[in-house]
Amino acid sequence: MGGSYEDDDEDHDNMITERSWEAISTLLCNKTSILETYNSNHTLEDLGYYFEGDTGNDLVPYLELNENKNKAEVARQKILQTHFSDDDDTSSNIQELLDMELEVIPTAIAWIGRPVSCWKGRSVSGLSTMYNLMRRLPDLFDLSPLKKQAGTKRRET
Amino acid sequence: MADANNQDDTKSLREAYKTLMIGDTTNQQDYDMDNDGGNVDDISDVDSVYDYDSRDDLDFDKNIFLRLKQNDLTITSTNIVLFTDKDVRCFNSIDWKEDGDCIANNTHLKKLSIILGPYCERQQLRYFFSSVHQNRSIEELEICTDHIDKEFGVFLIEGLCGHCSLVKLIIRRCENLGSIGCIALGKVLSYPKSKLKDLRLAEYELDDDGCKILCNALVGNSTLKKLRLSSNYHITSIVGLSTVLRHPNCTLTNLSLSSNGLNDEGLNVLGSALSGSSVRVLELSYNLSISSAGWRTFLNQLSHTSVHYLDLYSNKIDDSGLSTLANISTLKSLNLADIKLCTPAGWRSFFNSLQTSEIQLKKLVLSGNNIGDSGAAALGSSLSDMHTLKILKMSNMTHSYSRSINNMTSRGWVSLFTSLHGSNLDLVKFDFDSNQIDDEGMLHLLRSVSNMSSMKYLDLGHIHGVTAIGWRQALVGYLQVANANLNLVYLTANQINDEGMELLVRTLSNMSSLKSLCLGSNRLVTTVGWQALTDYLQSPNFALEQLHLCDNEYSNDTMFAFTSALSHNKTLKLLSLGGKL
Repeated sequence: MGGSYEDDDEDHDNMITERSWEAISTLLCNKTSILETYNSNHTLEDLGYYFEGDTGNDLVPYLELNENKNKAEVARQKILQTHFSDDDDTSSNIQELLDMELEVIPTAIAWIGRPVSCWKGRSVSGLSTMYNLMRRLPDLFDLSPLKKQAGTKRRET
Repeated sequence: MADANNQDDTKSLREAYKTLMIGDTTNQQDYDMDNDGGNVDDISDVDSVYDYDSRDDLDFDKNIFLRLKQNDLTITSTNIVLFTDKDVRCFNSIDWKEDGDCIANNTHLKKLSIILGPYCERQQLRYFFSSVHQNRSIEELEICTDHIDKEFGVFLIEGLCGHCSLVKLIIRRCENLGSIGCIALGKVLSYPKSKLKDLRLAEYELDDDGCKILCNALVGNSTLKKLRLSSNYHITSIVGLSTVLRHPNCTLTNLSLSSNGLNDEGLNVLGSALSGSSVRVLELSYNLSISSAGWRTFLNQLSHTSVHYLDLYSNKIDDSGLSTLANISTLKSLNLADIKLCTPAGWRSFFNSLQTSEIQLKKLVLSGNNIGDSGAAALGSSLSDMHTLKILKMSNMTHSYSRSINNMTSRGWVSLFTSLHGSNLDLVKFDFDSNQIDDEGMLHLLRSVSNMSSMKYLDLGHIHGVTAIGWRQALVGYLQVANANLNLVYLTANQINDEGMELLVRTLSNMSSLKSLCLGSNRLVTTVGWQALTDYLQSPNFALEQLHLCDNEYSNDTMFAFTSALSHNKTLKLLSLGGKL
């Protein structure tokens, strides 16, 4: 009969290794690039009652983010929090934005500045990222006519 | 020291409340008090299994407070719990005089839950109830407290008398209601403009005097439909309630008197009052002060009523009492779990009489009983003709009787399942958890349910007697005709091995309706079996929202495969891993 289901000894308490939890963390938010973060899983909300330890706790913010039904906002928050947080050196990621085609940049700016909708998880506004972007691309935000022309010229060249 | 005790009290109150709200999913599944008395269609409890933790919004944090102030459209049925201890979600941290408009002026809030502990400031409580009174949208108010004194009673009356939208009032765990609390509640109930339809006073220290005060207030009431007075252990007499039931204005359809101190005399009074009453849903589980003779008399009286739903879980009903149940022709839902005084002969007689009675059951609960081989055979015959039956619960049918000479044998189970296989029975929910059947029994069981195209919920967890070979054989048989509408499958703590898992996954891959799958504690499955499950995670028909895999063993490679397979998944919300069940 085997009866393996009865072997509830203490050894089975921690059957998920640290590496496995890391894999789940990557599933929820792949930090290797903005695109990979965007393509992460934004659906999984709950890992049951039995995940513990530092890695397990690290997963909680991602699981909470995933509770938001607006999955575009989930992806946005993960990208902002992972690649443009105040704690990190964001210059390389800002450069990624600067390297975009000029036609795309207004869309990116709108994406960064989108208002945060009401929801439970931790959220960032994107205003810090907007500030950093403005510092690097002042021409784009200057409303004076001359600067506007300069912007047009830059586009033509 | 006193403070420390108070903090402990509040903590235990909070924990108890959380247990009540989200802890015991089994109870929530089977919670039938919400049944409409005229339409006992509790098949909806299949769906509630998904929602067991949907009421998790327990904390009244600043975010919710602000959203209430802004009249946030999204807060409609959120439960808000206001603790009164010294933490950040403290009831007292809000100035209810200044900021009570967050509730008073809100027009979307439907439900409000409040836990009141020992640190509650009375003046603030008054302002709080005042804001509740001004609110015009709250339909359900739940109060969990340990004490209602004179002041509290006054605030309660001020806040709830004549409330324009309140239809459901729940008061839990009030350990010191006393006559003051009863009088206050009575005034709320008897207020001419009261719109209350549902009153639940569970886990009270309500005694006969308190019950009398409340019932006096209810005489002539024509709005209340549901009254729950369960777990009030000091109630022995319900003379007052019988007066309410006999009043021509009474419209009560649901009555719960479970876990009370009712005696034979009280039950007899109730039986007389129910005759000709509007009550359709009657919960009387766990009334251990009532004798077998008392039940016999009462169940005879019920044949003159129109009761549709009857919960008799864990009472001292004997064979004679059981036999009288077949005379209640209006029954649609019958809970007979843990009726331990009944013998297999009594069950056989009851099932036989069901065949000739006019009863058209939709739900039958027989869990925790030993019906014996003879009872099983009679049940099989009876079920063959029971075309209306949609829910059958038969969990733990032999667990407590393993040494009984009348215990059900493999032959009994096979006889039952063979009858089911040949019948037109089309169950929606079949709970067969924790039974001691063998390989042959499982083979017949799965064949019998494979014909049931309406099946949504199948619980076959903890079937320890079925070997890995037995599961494989049964699943091969089951593969022939798969149930296309299954929503939930429980196969927890079984001896399914890799081969069984592969067969199971092949079956499940055809079911786009499956939302929840429990495979926890199936320790015979190795990397090979989990690979089959990984393939399922990526199959086009995969629609699972919950996958329970607790208490299994996985290699790192298996976990990597799982996570890789889920990277683009858009349905799975709960993946339960690791730890014990």
